[in-house]
Amino acid sequence: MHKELLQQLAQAVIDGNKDQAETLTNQLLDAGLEAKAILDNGLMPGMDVVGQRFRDNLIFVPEVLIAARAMKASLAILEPLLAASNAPQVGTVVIGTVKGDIHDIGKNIVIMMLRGAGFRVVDLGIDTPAEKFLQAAREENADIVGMSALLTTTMGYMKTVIERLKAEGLRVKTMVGGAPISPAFAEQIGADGYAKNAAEAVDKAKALLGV
Amino acid sequence: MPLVELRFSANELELDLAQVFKLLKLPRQHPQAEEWRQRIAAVEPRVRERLEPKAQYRIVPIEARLPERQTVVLAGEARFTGRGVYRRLAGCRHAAAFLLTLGHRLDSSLRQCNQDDPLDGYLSDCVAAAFTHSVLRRIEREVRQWAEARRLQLTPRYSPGYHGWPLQDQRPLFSLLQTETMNVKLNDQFFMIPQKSVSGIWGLKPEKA
Ligand code: B12
Repeated sequence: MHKELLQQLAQAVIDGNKDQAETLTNQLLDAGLEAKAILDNGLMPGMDVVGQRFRDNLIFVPEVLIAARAMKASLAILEPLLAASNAPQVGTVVIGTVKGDIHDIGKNIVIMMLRGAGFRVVDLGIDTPAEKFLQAAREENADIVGMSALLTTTMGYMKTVIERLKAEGLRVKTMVGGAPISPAFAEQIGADGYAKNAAEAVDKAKALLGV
Repeated sequence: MPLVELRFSANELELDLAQVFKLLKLPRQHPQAEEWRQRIAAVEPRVRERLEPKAQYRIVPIEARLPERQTVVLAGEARFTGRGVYRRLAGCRHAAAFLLTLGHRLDSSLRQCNQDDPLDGYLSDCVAAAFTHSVLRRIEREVRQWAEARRLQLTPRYSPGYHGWPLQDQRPLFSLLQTETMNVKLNDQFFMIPQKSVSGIWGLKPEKA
């Protein structure tokens, strides 16, 4: 019965049916399932399908956003429960879209997933200069600095940030992503991690911290 | 030809729904087309309310072509360089340089909207982009009238940053206009602020007999 409801929840995310996602989340909780299991076996698989369909050009950005909205509604119910069960937190991620770039849809999905997985996430928003990454990494005592770029003209800036972090001797891991980024590029600029979608971003972040 | 300024009230600009669908990359026959139409209609007033549409254009003679540098010299002051722009302006005696903006107020509101709800933010962004097309059509109509009276025809519209015309040429393009009165600036990456601004040219060449 859980399995069926979880599948329905995944489908509600895929369809972008926010009300349905909320109802199913509450039903699953009432049935005694843990928040984390609902996230891992309902929401994540749903969002995975959405991400895959987007890459295959079967759906477009508005549909991704509708799905994200449904996921967010469900997460809003789960988050307090996740926070309670996840203490102490897995780690702190400071994340932003790099300078000159205002694309943040993908980054926001990554944030949602990381929070769901128990990370404390500080969102620096868009058009983020290196100084802001540095300052936040220091002040927030970050474990990971995440950077997103969607433009070929701004992806090079990630290297600037990574170099500045190193020059200042900050002991943080760096993780990069965004449509034009490849694993080879990530390696070339000295990033510690790369992920091609939000679910992988969670795995990568955990791997980087050894949790 | 002197510079021409166009002013519009927010309410006179039509919103082309087909254009919004195209920008959203949603097929017109989308199974939920009606729902999307309603969502678009819901965000439209908020976008329209913040429009401060302005446009400017100037038709200038093309004075020289420098094949070895792939450069076109306009009105003695501006030079456009690039394979694409050089080719696009082949056979043209004039170019019409234009700039339009929807203004600063919209920019901050789009940013806010995007934070409140990314879906509404994205829809609003595409609605705003469709409004830039409405303004473009107005400018094009006037330029076309001027051209047709002189038996000239318009080449397809072209902008710096597109294939074969580096974005740096926003500078010489801006130099042909009076961008201060439009309150549009370039940042160090040559992007325009406010963001909902469009710049570019049409080439004008003699009609084929
Ligand atoms: C939506 C969009 C916009 C919206 C952005 C709205 C917003 N709030 O983000 C608007 C309309 C504002 C926009 C503006 C522009 N855009 Co745009 N945009 C897109 C579009 C259609 C989709 C991007 C998107 O949201 N994808 C959906 C998300 C879910 O996917 P994602 O971002 O890849 O994120 C996933 C992964 O990459 C990864 N990920 C992302 N970030 C991170 C970070 C980390 C740390 C990790 C681990 C993983 C990770 O996980 C995410 C979730 O799975 C793309 C085309 C495309 N199909 O990609 C063009 C595109 C990116 N844009 C483009 C351009 C050129 C622009 C403009 C310059 C246009 C212009 N002339 O004004 C401006 C840029 C302004 C600026 N300074 O940034 C080009 C870039 C070309 C290039 N080679 O550089 C593209 C590719 C379109 C094209 N084919 O021409 N754009």
